[in-house]
Amino acid sequence: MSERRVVSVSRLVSYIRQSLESDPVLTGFLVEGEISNLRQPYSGHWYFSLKDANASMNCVMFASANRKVSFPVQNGTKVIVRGNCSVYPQQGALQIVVTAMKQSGIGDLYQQLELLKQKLSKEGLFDEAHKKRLPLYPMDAALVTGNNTAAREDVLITFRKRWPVARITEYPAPVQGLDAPPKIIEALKKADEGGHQVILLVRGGGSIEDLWCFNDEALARCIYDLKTPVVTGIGHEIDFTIADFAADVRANTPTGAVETAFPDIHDVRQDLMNRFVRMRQSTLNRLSHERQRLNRNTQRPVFARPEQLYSDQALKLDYLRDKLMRKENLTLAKRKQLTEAASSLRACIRESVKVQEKKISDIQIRLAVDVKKDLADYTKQIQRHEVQMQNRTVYAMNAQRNLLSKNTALLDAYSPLKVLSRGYSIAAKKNETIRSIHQVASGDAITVRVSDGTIYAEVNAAEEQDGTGKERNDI
Amino acid sequence: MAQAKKEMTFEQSMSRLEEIVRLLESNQQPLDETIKLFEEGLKLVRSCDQTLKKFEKQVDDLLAENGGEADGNV
Repeated sequence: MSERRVVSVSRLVSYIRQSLESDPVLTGFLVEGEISNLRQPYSGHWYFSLKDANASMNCVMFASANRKVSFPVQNGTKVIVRGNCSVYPQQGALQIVVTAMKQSGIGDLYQQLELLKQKLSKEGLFDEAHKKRLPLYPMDAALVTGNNTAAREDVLITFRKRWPVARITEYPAPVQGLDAPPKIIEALKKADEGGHQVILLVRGGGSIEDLWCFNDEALARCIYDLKTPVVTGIGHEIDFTIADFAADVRANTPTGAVETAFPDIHDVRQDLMNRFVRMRQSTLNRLSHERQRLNRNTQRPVFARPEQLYSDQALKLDYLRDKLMRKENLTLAKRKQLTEAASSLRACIRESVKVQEKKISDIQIRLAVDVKKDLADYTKQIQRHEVQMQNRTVYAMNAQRNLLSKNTALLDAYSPLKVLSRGYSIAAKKNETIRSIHQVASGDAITVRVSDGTIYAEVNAAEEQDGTGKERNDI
Repeated sequence: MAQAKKEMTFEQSMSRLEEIVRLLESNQQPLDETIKLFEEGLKLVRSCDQTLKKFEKQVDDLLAENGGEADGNV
């Protein structure tokens, strides 16, 4: 043991390091494994482990080397690295210094793509329902593609031929490499905010690795979220990227994208012509149709012969008038009948009156004869009675006359006037013959009748006397 | 209905006119109503005719102004 030299750790590590680095087998070897524990600090160097099922090795890939890696590196990525074995002195750790890296096996790449596609499809990122319709005649478009690329030239040439009336705004972005997706996303977002009617995302043909940036998950989500419809034209007809699936419309190529997004101005012009002709024709047809329709109405009997509207009523009126007239005639006839009846009645009455009158006149005549006869009878009777009466009167008168003469003589003999002439007088008070002294009082005015007149006297006195009454009673 | 006549479109006027013709042809309205309908119908005929003439002239004028271009190139 004592013969053995004692060396420092530094010397030992240094010896190991020199041994490893000078071993031709451990220099520039290729090793395949899966990346894990990947760290990418600001220094730009990558630190990771390369492992397989049984073993693991620390690796370092300096910034100068990893700059050339053109595919996304992450834990789990299977790679083939070129490197040299070395020792990191501070930790005495064995490590591989990686000088180059490539993906191990393109089949894995497609598998990844397939998995990503399934995942996004399950999320609905490719749903037809979500896809926006392209405007028929976009007048304002955005173009997202690489500067100075052949695809850009193709697009612009086709665009100018096909639809020069629209405006196109370019949003350049790298279309290859690891840093392309975020730049493309940025350009798309800017274009979306630009308020264009359609966005074209195009890239010319290339290898699958060249187009790989269009299989980026973030890019797919960005396309899905855009408000503006997106048309993709990436690679050739056979190339399908995730971006194509997420886009609203996928075209085969950049030129195809232009043809999809824009109409051909010649077709549009032809269309316009056709529409104009059809419009003119249909307008003229419509007008003439309406004219005919109006004419049909105007020529209807109601307008051509409007009297029909009331002719029925007029006929009815006539009919009613007729009916009325007939009724009047009826009345007239009745009246005539009545008049006739009246006149015949009148004649009857007149006849009857005549008969009656004759009867009366006959009766009158008969009556007159009878009456005359009666009258004559009566007259005779009267005359007879008259004679009788005259005879009787004469007789009576003679008898009376005889009686009168006798009585006159007698009366004459007894007349107070004769007495007066013999000297007697008649005293009276107020035409009342005074027979008693008690009839008068002293002062009474009395009259005294004498044979040749009347004496007006006043009573002086009256004196009762016997024997005188006897004489007076005689008177 | 008579009050809204001023507001009627051509289509409405034509429909009303056809309705009136139908009513008049059936001739089942009272005579007063018939005469009113007849009068309204005549007015509609006149207004429809004027409108049509206006449209026809407008189309003629428009075609004279713009038709030439369309016959050749837009």
